[in-house]
Amino acid sequence: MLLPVMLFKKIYCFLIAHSYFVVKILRAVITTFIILVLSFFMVRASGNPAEIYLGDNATPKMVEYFNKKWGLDEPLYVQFLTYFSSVISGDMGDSLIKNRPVSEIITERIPATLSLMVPAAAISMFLGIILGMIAALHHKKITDGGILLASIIGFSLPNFFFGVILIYFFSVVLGLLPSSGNDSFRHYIMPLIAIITADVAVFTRFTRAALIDIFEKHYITNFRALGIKEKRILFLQALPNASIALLTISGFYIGSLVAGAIVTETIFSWPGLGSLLIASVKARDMPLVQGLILLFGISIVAANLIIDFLYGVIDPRIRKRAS
Amino acid sequence: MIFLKKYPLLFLLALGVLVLFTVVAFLPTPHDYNHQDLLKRFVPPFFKDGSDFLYPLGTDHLGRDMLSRIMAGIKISYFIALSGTFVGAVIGTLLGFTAVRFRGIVDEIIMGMVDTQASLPFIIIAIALLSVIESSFLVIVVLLGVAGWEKYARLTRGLSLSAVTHGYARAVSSLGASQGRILFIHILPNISSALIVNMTLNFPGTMIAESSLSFLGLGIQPPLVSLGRLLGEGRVYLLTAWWVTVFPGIVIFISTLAMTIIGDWVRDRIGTE
Repeated sequence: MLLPVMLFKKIYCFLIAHSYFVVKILRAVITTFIILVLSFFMVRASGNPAEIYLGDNATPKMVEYFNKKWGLDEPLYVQFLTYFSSVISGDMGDSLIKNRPVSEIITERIPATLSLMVPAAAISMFLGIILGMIAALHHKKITDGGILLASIIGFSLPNFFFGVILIYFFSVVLGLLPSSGNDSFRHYIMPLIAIITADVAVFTRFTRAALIDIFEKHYITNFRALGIKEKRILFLQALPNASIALLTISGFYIGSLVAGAIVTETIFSWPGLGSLLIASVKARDMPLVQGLILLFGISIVAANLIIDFLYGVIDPRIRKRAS
Repeated sequence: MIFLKKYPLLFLLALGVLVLFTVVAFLPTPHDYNHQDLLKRFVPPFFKDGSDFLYPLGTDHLGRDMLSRIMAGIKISYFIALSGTFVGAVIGTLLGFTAVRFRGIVDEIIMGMVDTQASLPFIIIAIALLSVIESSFLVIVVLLGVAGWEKYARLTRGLSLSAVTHGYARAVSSLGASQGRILFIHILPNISSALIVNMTLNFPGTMIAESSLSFLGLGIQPPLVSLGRLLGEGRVYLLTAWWVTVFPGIVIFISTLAMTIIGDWVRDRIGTE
């Protein structure tokens, strides 16, 4: 008799003690659910499926058969539950145009996107932090101003325009680099440059701002008064503290990375998920659009959840404030 | 941004460029921007051989005057960026006030929406919606507004919560003013500077978002033109006629650069984050 009560109490205490993580997980679950609901209604709102599949010449009998076959005559919540369970099992229907399972088409395209995005993100982060550090160390000097101006220019240069310019110079005028596809190492150069230019600017600005902010704190002044070298302060004191601000940016960055992927892949005809999304939207291939939106949405939610967890681990203060 | 504080010249230059673009855009266009003349296809700009002085920036694949198209594009792109930013600010501020006024569960729901919105990139939401709704001028403006509301909501909520405890808000409250009156008549003017800073900082982002969508062919639809659309259309002819792509691109770049510089300057001047 006592056991369930004790168990309940234990679980309750565990949840309270880890309320920061519990809240974050709950938020992620809710967001995922919202994405699922939206993607479900997205296809419903785009028109009557029977009309889209069968065309205008369908007889009422055909429509009835079609609705029965796909469960469209069921109440909406039953349809949603069916949809929900099939998504969980990885079945996202068939593409209207390619006549193949959506999950299969998407899986084929994942490596191309990841092989472009992961190096782009890593290089941008690395370069951005280094440049931001240099700017912060030379605060109010000409180096700082130069880096700042360059980052403003990088931020304002829309990646679709920059990509087109790159293609014009390197593919059209000089004939050095291929402008589309992902067959060799040379194909990666221009898309990488296009993404990195914009993203380095973002990381530089934030690293610089975070570091300058920290350099004004009393504990840094204290270290300076003790005669500790500036570089030592930077690496051992300021940078670890700035990492919290950087983590926040990384959360927003994942979203902009996805956005950048969609545009950059379209410009360079990169056979990845982003160009697939645009192509399927234009072709009105709703099951494929639905699958891709789900994939993008859920991976962003998952990435943000990981970042929130890292927050809690790096900075215990945040955990306490939340609970 | 001490760099810009030292050199307000840069700010004046940026402002000048924006004003210049706007004024030029509102001059009468030399041609109708949709007038096609197939005999005048791909006329190069004025500094190249074979140019036509009637078409100083050349023509596109249908013989349409690029200068007229860019002028029309600036008008629409600027207007969308402005109204999109404004719509976002209004929605966000109203929701922020609603959260402060009612607190409790309303507050939780609104902040939950803020978190959800912040975690999903604009372009994903936009593509999901545009795959269902036919794109139009109004849809794009609302979409851009909805994309930006979350920052204003967060800002308004945070600032109002602290403002409510200030002396002036308490004084009006003890005089019997309603919550809504305090928020709109007394607190709004006090937090407006922060909201304006956020608007100027958001402006270039809104412009780039619109251009990206139009570039992808999901934004402004013909016969209307926006700068992003011009760029997207001209991209196919990069090999034969670079000017069709490059001129609109330069206008977008210079505009967003100028807006960013102005935004940074305004933030430093007003000094709020």
